[in-house]
Amino acid sequence: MNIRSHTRGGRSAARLAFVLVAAFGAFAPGRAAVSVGEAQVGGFFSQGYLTTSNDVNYPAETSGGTADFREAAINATLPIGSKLRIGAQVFEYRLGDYGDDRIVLDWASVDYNVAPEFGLRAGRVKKPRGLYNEALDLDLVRPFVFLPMGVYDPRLRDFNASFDGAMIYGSLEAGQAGSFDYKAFYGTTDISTKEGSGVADYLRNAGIFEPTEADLDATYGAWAFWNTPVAGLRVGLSYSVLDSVISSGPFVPMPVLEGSIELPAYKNMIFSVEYLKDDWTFAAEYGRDWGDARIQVPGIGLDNLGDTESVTWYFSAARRLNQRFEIGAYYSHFSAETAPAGEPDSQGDFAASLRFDINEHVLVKVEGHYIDGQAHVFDTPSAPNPNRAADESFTLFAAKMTLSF
Amino acid sequence: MKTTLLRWGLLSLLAFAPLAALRAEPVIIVHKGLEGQALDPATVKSVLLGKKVAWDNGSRVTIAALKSGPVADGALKAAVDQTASQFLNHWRRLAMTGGGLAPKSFESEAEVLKFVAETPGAIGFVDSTTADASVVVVKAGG
Repeated sequence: MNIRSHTRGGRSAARLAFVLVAAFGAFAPGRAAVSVGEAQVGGFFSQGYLTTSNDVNYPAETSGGTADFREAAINATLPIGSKLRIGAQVFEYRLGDYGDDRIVLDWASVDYNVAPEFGLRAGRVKKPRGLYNEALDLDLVRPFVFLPMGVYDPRLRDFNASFDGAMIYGSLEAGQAGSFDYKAFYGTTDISTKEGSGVADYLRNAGIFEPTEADLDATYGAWAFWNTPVAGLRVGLSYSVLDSVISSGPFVPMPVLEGSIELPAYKNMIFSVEYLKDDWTFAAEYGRDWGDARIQVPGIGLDNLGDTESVTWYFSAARRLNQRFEIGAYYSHFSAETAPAGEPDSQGDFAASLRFDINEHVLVKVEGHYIDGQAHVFDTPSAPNPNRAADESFTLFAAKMTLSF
Repeated sequence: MKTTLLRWGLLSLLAFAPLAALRAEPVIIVHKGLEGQALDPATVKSVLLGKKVAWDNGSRVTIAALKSGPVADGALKAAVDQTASQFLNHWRRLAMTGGGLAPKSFESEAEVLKFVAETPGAIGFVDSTTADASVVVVKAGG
């Protein structure tokens, strides 16, 4: 997080998941889920490898190469009658220090679909944000190892994935004009400061205080997409607010003092376009995060009002070549509009990916990135980058294998 | 001479007419209990994409999908403008994120036909030459 001041101021879990996925997979001929009576069960497990050049650690501690890159999930959904459905998914991941292989309840919801025009989902619900946030963890649906990280930051996965509350949703037919899909939600979400918390590292990266407490009052937002009359083309806008975010902890220069940051309303907006044409998928998104920020260290009389803002965009193309191969590429750009003087303020990322489906349950991906700039690179114990100010270019290589059923 | 040519023309038309009638094309099929339900292209699209989860008679929608192949591609292109791979990804996104119950997946058209015939509320797609009187046939894409 870059603040512009007015003064310029469980590995065992993964193994268990692997065994379960492999066991279920053996009985599941390629589909989106398997049936167990009326219920449907699905899941995946992935293991990857990351390495970066030039001693840069991004998105985690990667410069010497790391296999601390994996995800696993198991979900079950049960219909009750024709319109009611309950379901849940447990999830764990590790990206360097982030995630820490901790098993979390990723989503657990009750869904009542009154009609195509109106439905209600409540519980722990996946957060609608842009084209892909709800399906952020689903390697199965894209050729990329990493979605463009400015919009879909894998370090913030623990925070951005879902919320506790309720969402209404629906689809409105508009005749010759196509149709409109909408979602609107209200709830809250936990901001963890435990070891492995990506959002804590995001706060830590500001270098002001060591976050030991963090909370927010609410999160709310809306998501609307227009399925245009042009076949395969949809455009949409999503907007969300984190209301009254506050975090505190020891002030870094003088840890005996307490420092804090307060964001009355931290906002995110994403404009999205996606076009499916035969075996091609084209996508582009423009996103902006912004909000006022108040930093206080009462012990030294510091009370700064400022703001924070970042802008990111990308365009991507992917093509399914045949049943085995899919390729993809994107260019994404991130700019920290409020980066302090001397800090990197932009980052461009060109990525190219190859996906190979060994069979219906096992796929392998390789991906190369050429990254110019380090505005999206942290300098924290989980991603040490003491030379970040040099702002040089570097490469990131990622390989990943995913089993799914 | 003119009359002979005309006769040959008519005979040819008569000879090929039955073949034309049997020409294969993907069709949407639904359980017989859904006869009389609105099955216009917009409704079929809404059902196949998971937006409409219950029929107007109250029965739950159950989708029977062919895993891949030209019939799946043809039917899905006509009904929802997606390839079989895109359709599978659409449902993976929904099923894995709490957004719906995934289609039942089948290797063969015969399995799809049998499932749809036996399951109230079921909808699927097969080739027109596979469909029979055990189900209600709807032209894919209207």
